[in-house]
Amino acid sequence: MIDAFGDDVPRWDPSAELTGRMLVVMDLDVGVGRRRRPSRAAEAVRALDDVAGVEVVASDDVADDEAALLDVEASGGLLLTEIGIAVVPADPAQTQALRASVPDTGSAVIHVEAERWAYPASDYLAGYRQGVTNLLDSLQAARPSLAAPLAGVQAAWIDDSVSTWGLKATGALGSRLTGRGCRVSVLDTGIDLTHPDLAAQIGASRSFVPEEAVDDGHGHGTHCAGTVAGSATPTSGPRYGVAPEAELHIGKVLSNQGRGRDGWILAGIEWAIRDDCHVISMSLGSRTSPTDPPSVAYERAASRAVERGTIIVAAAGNDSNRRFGRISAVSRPANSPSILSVAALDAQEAVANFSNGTVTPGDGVEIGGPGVDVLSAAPGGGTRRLSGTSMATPHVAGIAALIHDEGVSSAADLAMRLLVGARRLPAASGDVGTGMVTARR
Amino acid sequence: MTSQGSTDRVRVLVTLKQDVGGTEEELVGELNEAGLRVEEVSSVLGIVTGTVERATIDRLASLPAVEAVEPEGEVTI
Repeated sequence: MIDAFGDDVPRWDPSAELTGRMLVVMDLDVGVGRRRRPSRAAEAVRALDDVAGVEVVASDDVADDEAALLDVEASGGLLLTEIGIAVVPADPAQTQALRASVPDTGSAVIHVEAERWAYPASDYLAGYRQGVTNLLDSLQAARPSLAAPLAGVQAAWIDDSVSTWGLKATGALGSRLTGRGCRVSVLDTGIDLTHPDLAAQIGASRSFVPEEAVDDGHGHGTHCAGTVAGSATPTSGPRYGVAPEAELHIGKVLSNQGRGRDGWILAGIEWAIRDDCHVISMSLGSRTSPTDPPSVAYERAASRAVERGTIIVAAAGNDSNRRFGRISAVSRPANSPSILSVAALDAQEAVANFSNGTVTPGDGVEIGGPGVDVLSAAPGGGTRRLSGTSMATPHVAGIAALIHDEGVSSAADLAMRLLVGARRLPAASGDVGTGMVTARR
Repeated sequence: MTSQGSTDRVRVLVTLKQDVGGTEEELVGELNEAGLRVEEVSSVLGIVTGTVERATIDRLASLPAVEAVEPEGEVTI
């Protein structure tokens, strides 16, 4: 593989990351809105023994004894009852027996895959995201009945006099949460500092673009900021702000022509981290090819952000033309493992024609949000409609603010809640991640 | 490549290794010596931006404190 400077670099070898143990997804009635019945854990322990002679201890039995838990985890099999996954040592014959039991509709074993070494702290989110995606795919593929909630998917959301379609689709409209106490940094083309629907929520602003003030001479940044924290009672038209009491920290990192350097964006990320922002929303990116590795610099920035309690969400990019069969790879920096990449969905909850998708495993789409015909703030005090993964991204940032308002404060927990809370869609996870970003009521 | 009498400088992002010892001034001095014209140091992120002659990128990348040298790109909405 040739790197950006033309040098030959070694390819990543996925087999080198295997631990030798297996992950067994069990049907404990977890996920998709159902609660685990306690007796099912005991049944699962017995099933593993019956099917493949694999002995496991249920985590419920050792959860209060850290030493015992570590001991079991190190030397034997452990059934993680809260998430319905067993981590087991299995020889080839046992692995084969486990896999052979999957097609049996009565089997408690839903899916079997090799365990990999955990990602280092900087890659924590990537490992978690992949786990969630794999789990949901496995559950739905193996148990079609678990997809039952999909039958209730809306035919189409519409804007009305109360709110935009996106606020309804995400559940933000019906949420009692407002994003109060959450600082969201929007790194974009700046903002209309005097916009009546936004001005009260601007806690800080700064330009990183030489010779340009933070005032938005483009309009893209104002639109994105409006989606995050536009007023619950806008001066005219329907509500469009997801988290109307979130505090906006506006970093201008793109010029009034809509372009910016990596250096400006990284400076904006650092500023947001120093300001103790909980969420950074970046509706920006540059095209990549499937062979491009994620940027080391952006991955460093994002992992530092996570360490400091800041989650970064970024637009997956608009380079695809799905009607003609072209799906482009997720843009940089959204393709960084520690950044949540956001796809655009339309009012029918289908992936938008332009939305980039998962072309390179591990660098793909993690979640979707409303990104077609999105009404939000425009410079000068009014509103306008725009489409793009740029519009989907601040919906996710706004929902993150609502989750923070619930008392979830760590970046890893915010990411987990976003991913797990997303509403599953009848679409490939490579296109929409874990689904439509969704607020709790 | 550098041509005679002129310099072919490129904008780069230099990611530093974790837990690099020394002061920021010492580090910037090292990077300067390796040919980097430092423009911005982010101590929080551990990233330095600047320009370097294309021909000396390898020298910069081989410094013990440097994890990666990447070309600075342009980003759009």
